[in-house]
Amino acid sequence: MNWYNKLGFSKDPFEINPFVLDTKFLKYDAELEELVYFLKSSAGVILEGPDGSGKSSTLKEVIKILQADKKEKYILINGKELSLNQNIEIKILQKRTALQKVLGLKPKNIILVLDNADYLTNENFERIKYYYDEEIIKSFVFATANYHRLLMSESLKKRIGRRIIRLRKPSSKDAIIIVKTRMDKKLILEDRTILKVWEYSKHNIKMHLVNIASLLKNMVENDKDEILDEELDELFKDNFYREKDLSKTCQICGLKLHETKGSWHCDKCEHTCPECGVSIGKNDKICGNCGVDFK
Amino acid sequence: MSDVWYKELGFETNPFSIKPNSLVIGIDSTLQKLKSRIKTGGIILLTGDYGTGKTAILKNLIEEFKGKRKLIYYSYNRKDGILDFDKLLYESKMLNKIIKRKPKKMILLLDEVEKLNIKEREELILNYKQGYFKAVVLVARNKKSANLNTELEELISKDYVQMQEMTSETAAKMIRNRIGSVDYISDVMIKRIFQVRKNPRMFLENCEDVCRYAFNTNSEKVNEKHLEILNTSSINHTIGPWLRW
Repeated sequence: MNWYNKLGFSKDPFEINPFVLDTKFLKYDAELEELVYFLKSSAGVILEGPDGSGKSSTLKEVIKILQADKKEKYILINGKELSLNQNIEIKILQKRTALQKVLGLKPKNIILVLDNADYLTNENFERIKYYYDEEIIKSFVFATANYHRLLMSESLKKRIGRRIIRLRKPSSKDAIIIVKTRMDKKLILEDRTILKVWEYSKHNIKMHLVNIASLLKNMVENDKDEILDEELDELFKDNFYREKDLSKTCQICGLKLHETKGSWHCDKCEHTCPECGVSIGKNDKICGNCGVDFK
Repeated sequence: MSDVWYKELGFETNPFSIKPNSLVIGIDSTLQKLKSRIKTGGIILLTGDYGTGKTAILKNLIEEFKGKRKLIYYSYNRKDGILDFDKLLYESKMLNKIIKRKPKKMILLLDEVEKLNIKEREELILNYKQGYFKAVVLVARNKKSANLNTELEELISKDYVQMQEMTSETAAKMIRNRIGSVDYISDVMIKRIFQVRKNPRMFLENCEDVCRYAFNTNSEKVNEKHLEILNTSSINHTIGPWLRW
């Protein structure tokens, strides 16, 4: 029996992949409406936000809306799952109908929903542009932590124009609400403890969720109803999240990732802000997230 | 989801979509020039900034010549390895593909040639000189970025076509062509929007934003006040992430 079963859950309530755990939107929001409008209006759009700001969750809601509209055809691709040399056309062509396959035709007017666009090569972005111009792709959304870091050409950026939807970085208030929402009424942690974990998690919501889960697991396994500050400090000496992620490698080059200010990055493929740890553009002068001037 | 402005105005799809449209308004003289040069034969360089209608021109040329089965279109942004001109020629016609014979006097439209490498340039010139290509249209952002060698430059010295700039009159004509007699936006306002950004693609984007803003603020028609939406550099919303979990 898992720790969460003992707390009355059938699944880990702190799963960080929204496509695995069916989390709920509590309210219909402006960004979602904006995004769906652009996708239905044949536009290319960027969904930008730091790690854990809810990009994948927003895409998941977009998919739900597109699924409900029988007129729209869509394809969801996770950039992380495309290997460096894989041609994205192959994935898109999978959307062909049986008749299109027989006749050797390409699909038409597919909405491309691309999560983790940061992993896409320039070649694949160019293929998307071509498919967009050829009306094989009707519209697209690229979810990314940093738009300026994407390996796309100027001409593709011009097709996107001003269509950039930005999600903000989660606050400490959000860190408490997300834990309370996920735990429903079974919460055994005080706000103060959650905030301390939030600090240990370097304000990264994904790391926060994993750390909360690890903390609860530890408490359940040791039959504890509460946790003292000293015990918490002791536990975080061996940060749960970092232990889990030490084996992580870069999906682009295969090198081992390193941790900068609470986020995992590849030295070869990424540039990160020394202050807040988010990914930045190679030639950026100011961090788009925390505003630090690199000069 | 709230009512979509263009559907409420009677359009099935977004009339200001920036997708290259085969219906060319405002760039027809460039198109005519290209058509006549293609018929004469030669290597032609077509240049124009982002969003000025190069792809729209190519789409129109494809429509014009495809029926004669004499046209090959290739966009460099799809290149996977080195471009094989022989293969392009073989595959242009079913019979040639079977008997592996290259057809003669073909028209080649080569989009985004900035990435053309030395070997490909040589192959292109060779196929042109041997008569496999009667006319070649190379498309690039500008002459410098086209990255041509001396021989190619000499071959295209006279056939250099630049996208013409759009005027406010043609801009209004283009929008009228898309929205017909719908009077939600007047020609005067269309021309005012055009003055903000003259690049055709950005102009279309601006038209969409202004009409949508006017509609969402329950205005009967687009007026000067609605142009304020164009001052925003991005659609920068913030939302509490708690709404998502």
